[in-house]
Amino acid sequence: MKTIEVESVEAAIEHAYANGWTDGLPVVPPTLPLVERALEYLRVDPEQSLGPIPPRHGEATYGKIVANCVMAGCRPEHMPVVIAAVRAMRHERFSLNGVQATTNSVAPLVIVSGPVVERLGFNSRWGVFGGGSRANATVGRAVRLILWNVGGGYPGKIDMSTMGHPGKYAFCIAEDREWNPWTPLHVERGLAAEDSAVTVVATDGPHQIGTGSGYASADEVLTVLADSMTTIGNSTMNAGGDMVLVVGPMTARALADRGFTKDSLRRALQERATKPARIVGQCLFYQPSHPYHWSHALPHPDDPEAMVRLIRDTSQLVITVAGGMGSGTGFCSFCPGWHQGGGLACTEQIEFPS
Amino acid sequence: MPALILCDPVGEVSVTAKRSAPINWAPGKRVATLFNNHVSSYRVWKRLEELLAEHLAGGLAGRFAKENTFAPAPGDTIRDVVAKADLAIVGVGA
Repeated sequence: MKTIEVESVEAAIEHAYANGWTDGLPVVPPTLPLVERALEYLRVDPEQSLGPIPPRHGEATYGKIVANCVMAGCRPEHMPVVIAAVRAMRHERFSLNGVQATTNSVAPLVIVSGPVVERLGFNSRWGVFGGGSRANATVGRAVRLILWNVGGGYPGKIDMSTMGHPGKYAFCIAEDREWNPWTPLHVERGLAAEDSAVTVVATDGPHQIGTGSGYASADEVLTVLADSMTTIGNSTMNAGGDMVLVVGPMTARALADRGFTKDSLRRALQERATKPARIVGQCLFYQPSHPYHWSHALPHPDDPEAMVRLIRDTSQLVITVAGGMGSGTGFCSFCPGWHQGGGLACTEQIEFPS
Repeated sequence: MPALILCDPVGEVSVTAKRSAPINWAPGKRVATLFNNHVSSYRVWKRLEELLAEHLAGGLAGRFAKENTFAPAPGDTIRDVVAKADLAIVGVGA
């Protein structure tokens, strides 16, 4: 692995800035001992590659992944989570090239689920999208630094996101195991309950939804969720694709107590998360001739009263349970996705060295 | 003695592509377009195709499009382009 000699920690930090290694925040210097210690823990060949990371197509060797993890502040035991996220983002259906380069504001949201959540101290409760947890912050930041240093996702150069996204510093949450009354996300996606996994979906930033689930009926909660999800300028409303609904634990409990499962919640929201074509059609984000345009999902697209569904297929709504307990306001978050051609949910099991 | 040895985090690019041969843009060549369907390029692409049709004797050999802007065109589409044209103007990226 290519190495550089510097005189001091201060010089190392400045070297990282001077060479464009950072996202703007200072980094932990990726010193040879720190990198070697992590490689020894992982028991991997530093030259072995998971493959190129687009759009720059730098090789994601274990050596480079570990160097970026060290810079982000990861401990060695966090790194298998990052490696699983990199694997997940390399799935063809994720279309990482586009996610990195698009003018949209999406960033890969990393959702960690399974026993690893407690084992490594991921925050799945209060302030789940915010700071305060080393595991969430460093895993999220390591993913970003890999997309930056290996994939070349530099803003204004290859990353043409016009608005950007706070999640382009770090965007990692965890599903709460105790407060989730439903099937864990990774089990829905084909893994065993005792497995740990990472699911990535490219999304906009989280939009808070106060459902009032502490006081409201299930019908009212569903109405609030559906209405809050169907803003006509969001990419998913226009062009389909996967999206994430983070259901707060109070709302999840309230709905589960009324008999809802994740699947029945998806079906109920598919029916309700709709808007008339005459309203949605005022947004010219996507042209009607575009293959992903909402009109192609309607049997009678010229009918102004035809109802446009946000959720074209129930599999496109990723539901996870996270966030803190609160008052009866029952907060949830909705993260619209990119479109049906990319940023789609991909899951990889986290594999720890034996 | 240096105080610290840093590991470079920048991914190295494996260059495998060879330089393409110069394009033979001779009169009579069959020219096709392969649109990438990016939302912001409809107008410019439409105008490009109009200009090509105006300036090429016999017009365009084919107009193709891929559904996903950010993914390579499907193999069937590529084969169709190759069968119908000598040259293709391709929309890439965003």
